[in-house]
Amino acid sequence: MQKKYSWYSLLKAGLSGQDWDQAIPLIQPKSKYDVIIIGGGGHGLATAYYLAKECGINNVAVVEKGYIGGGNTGRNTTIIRSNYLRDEASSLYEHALKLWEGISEDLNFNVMFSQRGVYNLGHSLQNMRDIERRVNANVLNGVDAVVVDANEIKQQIPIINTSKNARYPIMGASYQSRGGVARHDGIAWGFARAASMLGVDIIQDCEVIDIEVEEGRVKGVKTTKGEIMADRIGCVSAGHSSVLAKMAGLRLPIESHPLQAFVSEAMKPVLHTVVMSNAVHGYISQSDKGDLVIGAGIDGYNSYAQRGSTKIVEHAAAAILELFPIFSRVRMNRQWGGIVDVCPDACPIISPTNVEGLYFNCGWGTGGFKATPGSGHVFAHTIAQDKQHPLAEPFHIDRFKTGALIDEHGAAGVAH
Amino acid sequence: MRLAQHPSHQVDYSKSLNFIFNNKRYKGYEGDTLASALLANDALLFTRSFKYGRKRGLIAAGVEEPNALVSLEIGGRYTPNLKATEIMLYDGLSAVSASNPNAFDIRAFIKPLHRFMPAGFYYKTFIKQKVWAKVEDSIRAFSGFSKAPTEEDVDVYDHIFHHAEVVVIGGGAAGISAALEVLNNSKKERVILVDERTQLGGELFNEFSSDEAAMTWHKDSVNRLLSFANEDSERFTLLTQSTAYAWHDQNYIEVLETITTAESLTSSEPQKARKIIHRIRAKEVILATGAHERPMLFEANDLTNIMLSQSVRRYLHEYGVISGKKVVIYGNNDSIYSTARDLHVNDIECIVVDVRSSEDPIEIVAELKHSGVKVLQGYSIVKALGSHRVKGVEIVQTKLQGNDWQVFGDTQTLSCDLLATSGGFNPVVHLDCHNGAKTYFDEVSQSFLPQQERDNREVCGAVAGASAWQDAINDGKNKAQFTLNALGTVSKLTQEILSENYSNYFNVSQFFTPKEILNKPKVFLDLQNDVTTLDVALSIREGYRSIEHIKRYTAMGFGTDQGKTGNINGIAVAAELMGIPMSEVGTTTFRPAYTGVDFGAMAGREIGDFFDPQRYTTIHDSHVASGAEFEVVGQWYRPWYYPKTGENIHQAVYRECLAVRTSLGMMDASTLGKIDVQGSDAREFLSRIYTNAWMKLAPGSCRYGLMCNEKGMIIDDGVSTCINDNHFIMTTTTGGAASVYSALEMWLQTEWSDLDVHLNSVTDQYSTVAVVGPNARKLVKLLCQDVDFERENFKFMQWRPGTVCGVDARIMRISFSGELAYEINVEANYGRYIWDQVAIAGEKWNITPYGTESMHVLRAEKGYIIVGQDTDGSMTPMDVNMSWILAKDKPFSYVGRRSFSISALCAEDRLQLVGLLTKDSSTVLPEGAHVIDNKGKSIGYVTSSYFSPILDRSIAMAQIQGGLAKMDETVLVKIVQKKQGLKEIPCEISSSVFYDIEGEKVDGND
Repeated sequence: MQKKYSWYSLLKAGLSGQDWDQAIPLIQPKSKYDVIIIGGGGHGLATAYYLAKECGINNVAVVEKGYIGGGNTGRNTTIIRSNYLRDEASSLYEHALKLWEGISEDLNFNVMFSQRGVYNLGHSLQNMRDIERRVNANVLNGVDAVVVDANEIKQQIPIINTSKNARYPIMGASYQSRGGVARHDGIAWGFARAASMLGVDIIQDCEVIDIEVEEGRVKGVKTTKGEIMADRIGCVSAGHSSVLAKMAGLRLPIESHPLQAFVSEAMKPVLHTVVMSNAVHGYISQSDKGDLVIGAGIDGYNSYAQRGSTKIVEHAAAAILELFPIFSRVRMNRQWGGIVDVCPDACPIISPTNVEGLYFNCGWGTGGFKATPGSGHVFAHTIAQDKQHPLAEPFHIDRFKTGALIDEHGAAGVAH
Repeated sequence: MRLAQHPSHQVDYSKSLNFIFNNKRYKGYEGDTLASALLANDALLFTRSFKYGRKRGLIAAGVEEPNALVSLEIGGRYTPNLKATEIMLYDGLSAVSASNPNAFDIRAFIKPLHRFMPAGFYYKTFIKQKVWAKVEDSIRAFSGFSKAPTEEDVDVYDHIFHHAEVVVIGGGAAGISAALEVLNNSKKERVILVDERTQLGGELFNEFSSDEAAMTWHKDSVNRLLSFANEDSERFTLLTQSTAYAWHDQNYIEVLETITTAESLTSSEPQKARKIIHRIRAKEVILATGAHERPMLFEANDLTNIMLSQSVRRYLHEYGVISGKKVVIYGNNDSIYSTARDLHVNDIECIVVDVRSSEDPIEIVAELKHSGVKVLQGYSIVKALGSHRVKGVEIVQTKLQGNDWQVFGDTQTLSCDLLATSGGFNPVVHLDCHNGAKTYFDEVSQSFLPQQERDNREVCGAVAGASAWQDAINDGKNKAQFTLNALGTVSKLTQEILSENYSNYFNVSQFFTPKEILNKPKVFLDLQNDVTTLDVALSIREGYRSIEHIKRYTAMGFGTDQGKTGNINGIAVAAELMGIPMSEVGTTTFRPAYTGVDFGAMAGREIGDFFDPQRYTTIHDSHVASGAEFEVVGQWYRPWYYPKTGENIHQAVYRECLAVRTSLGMMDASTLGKIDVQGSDAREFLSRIYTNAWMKLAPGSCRYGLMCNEKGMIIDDGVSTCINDNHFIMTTTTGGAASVYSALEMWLQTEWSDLDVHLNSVTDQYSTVAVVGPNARKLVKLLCQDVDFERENFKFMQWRPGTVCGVDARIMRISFSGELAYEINVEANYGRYIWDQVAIAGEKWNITPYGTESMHVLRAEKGYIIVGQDTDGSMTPMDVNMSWILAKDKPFSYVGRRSFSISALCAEDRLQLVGLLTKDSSTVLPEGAHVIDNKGKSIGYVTSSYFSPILDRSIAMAQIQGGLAKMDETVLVKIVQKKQGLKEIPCEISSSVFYDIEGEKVDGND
């Protein structure tokens, strides 16, 4: 059986009827683990991987109610960048971006991280002031960023509409060349396979129905596959964080909203980079398969249904046509929604809780995908040492009591 | 090949049309699709496949077609990725394959390497980031179907809203029947019937030649529907060429109608609308969406001219087209015999291969055999022969042993030039699942059927399991009765429910998935994405067992056809390989859009100038006449500056600012948000919303207020005017008006519903002309005689009613520049008049109109903040040095107050707004530049920066950590962008009030 991925193993597998080893073994849960991670999305799987790889904790289960990568990991528009405004956030996202840059090799799995650059467009004088401020902050923090004007954008993206007569003319943009996109399923599968190889049990179709707490300490979980005990539990269940928290008697400062996206039918390459516009509410890239991947704004109401209102999607289509009028006769192929857990300051919670042994990694809002490896990495260390990783410190849940919020509404990409 | 014209044909042989496909000229007829016309011309090759570059032709006649992707026309009408089966032919049509089947194709050329490129190939290769970065774009070049458009769309799109009691989706036998039944048994219920094709009838045309009753029923029923549509258009709307592509919550259905006519396509004029999205809110929905046939699985099942059996029938009956002379018909259900009969009647040689054994003889088989058609029961096709076009098939004997298919015996070869296959039918459950309904796997029909009971929805016809056309009609009637009952239109069913004993989906057998076939290469499941049974097997072997994982790992069902024909076989294969029932495998999620929707149609008219409302003040034309440049603020177009000939922005602003400071300026302040606040609790309401006190503000006075959110962060500011004790007019920032209004309503409606307060947005109702500068009083005296303007009688922050140039006005003495200023508010329609009168009267003081840029400079000289520029949603009133505006003793508190005492908001190192003066007074700091500490770390940034003409030096405002305690300290502003010239600029922290520190100017000098 071929285990490691390489040209040599591809050759051998090709000659022997594709005798690949299981990447994600089918596993029944044991009765007890050192750590249970609830949620088999990218962040949860990354957490398990780094627990096993860097923290010496291999007796780990990831329990997933559906299939791994089936939540927001498999629903987002896969944009990766680290050009956040505040020091705390940009350090965290930059940490993640650096991990992205080596992740395929680290996991021995090509997650197709494609550094095709990210433009964040500005359409007003105040947009441009904000962009200047953010780019300057990025540069001072060692994050690559430049401000480009409309002419430079046009040179790089000839199909974009930089007409001054546009309803909201493009005045400039911030550009992060190291940003880009990745194959979203790939990152979940890559982490799952690598974690499995280190002994982590990935248990799918296993829904947590209760978190057992005794005398302020977490004991284990009740699942649809029975009771599983553990001294430490990490919740990484974006979209349902509040539901999980409630099981442990906690309330999170989170609102859950639908966030929608859609793809066009696949076309030959026409857009080589990522273009985001917060002002007109649309962002777009073209996947390696050829479809335009488009993100819309957030739906205003709270919901757990993974679908949203049509107005939002249709407005995003209009926004894309504002930027790229040539796409008018291109067709939407498929449209969907995910549920994003949004914190009041558009920043995540990576934190221990009042329940001993229970940790939460949640509240990533619309921007969690890009943080996947970084989030898992700092969360793994936080769980392993029962002490926040230094990069995670500003993201303690207590900040909502002390008021030490990290306001990232401006840089979050999608207006929260 | 075309057959003689028959009444079932939808083409008119008397109207021939010329068209071009892949640079070759062809002829077709009116009523043809591009697909049928090409088939008639024996032009079978449509494309190269996605991964292996295999040559492919049509397999279907409808929207389920996976292969025949083409682009249509050029320039502003170029449209990518259309299915040839959905393009109605018109004269002069020009189309090109998405992937030219006749060109050299590297993907086909590397055929020996295909075995090394299984599903998931790229996850296992190019693992080094640097290598991937190098090769990715080359790999990308192979992806995608048609090229993207290069020009802007010349056409436009519309949206129309409907409300209906009943929407029937699908205009086949069941849908027609259901719609008629509702119309016949109701009086006022509005009914909409939606069908994706040009003619109502669905699959019914296939029955015309063999059953005259079908033709008669169709003709009568369609005529009756048309007369309803014509004579009772209030009640009945018929939407043809219209696809219901999404069904959202609360029965909200989106339908894409294609309006395109041949004439409009060839004209250079824009069409009225190329497509229309109908947004229908319905009480009851009747789904009559039919079923898609699925293919059989065997090796090389993707060769050209291997088609679905019912599609072969459809081409035959609707277009008079048959693409072969010797046909093998292969399947696992009785429908294949109908195809054989219809071909045989038309003297086309055919052989039937049925995987099912002949234990239950059926009448039609005997008839066929009797008439000389060869029927092989208990045989299966294991392989199609031919390099591109199918030339024959290899068959073996087959039988079902328990639940397993056995193949045995010697391989025989049958020759053919067309292979029609039928593996059963998939109910079109897509729409039903869009808003959360589940399907269930039905063993009898071997298909996923829609969830049985649902509120406000019925399913009828093939989607519900009916297969014979008569059953579909009966089912339509029955379900219409249920619907009328649900609506309360009929208290009891007006007729007996007709038999529901349907024909069990043509006695379909279970999926034909023997290991001997699944293990062969090139048994394709998804033709568009080149997904084979081996790919699914590999996916499962590697642990990607969920059907969603299989889809994502192999790309099965990812295409523009969304797996309409292929997915179900993939599910069957997965079930077989994992040894679990298909019900356990389940389906992937059905999502909109059922078929593609043009972005242009989604956007409708809301593009270009209509993307967002453009708001202009009534004075706008005057600004244009004065040569103003405009700044977009929110939705408003505000004068930015008024350059005189040859002036740049800096020169214009310099002139404007000095005019205001030394003589007289005028400004259009109409865009500021204005909210009329009335009610006996209006004062209390303002007290709760603003941080400062409002209980004692007397009528005739105005007051500045600062508004925070619950987090204690500044969200808006502005002056509110007390008209009387129960009536105030609040002004907001221009950009913040809508969100402030929403926030106020939120508080009133959700938290303080006990307050007697009513809000009304009156931004558009008033025009505001600000007259600003030391000569302002002289000017207003000239224009208004019924107000006492003497400084001691009309004080700063007061207002007076008066008549200005004969127009009723409210005149407010407020100032955003520190100068003596009056804001004249009149009914909006008088705005331009007043503006022009002010301009004329002001000539003697050289009155100068100024825009937002000068306003920014003037306010910065005075240290007044702009919310959203000097604050960013994370600044408290203390942070901007405005603690003076926080009331200490309000009985009810106010929004944000509780946050001011939490620790982080009281920290000394918070970013605080201060003034910043460059050591070199001519250097203007770039806005957004950061202030650094001695380690080079950011300790803040420049929020506002200008050259002040009156001070003849640069001024700036900045947020600096602990800045308010650092007065007179020297800090460095670091320029880090090469374009701005890398440098560090020494500055001194100062008060943010730079000019007229004592505030003496506000009363003027007269």
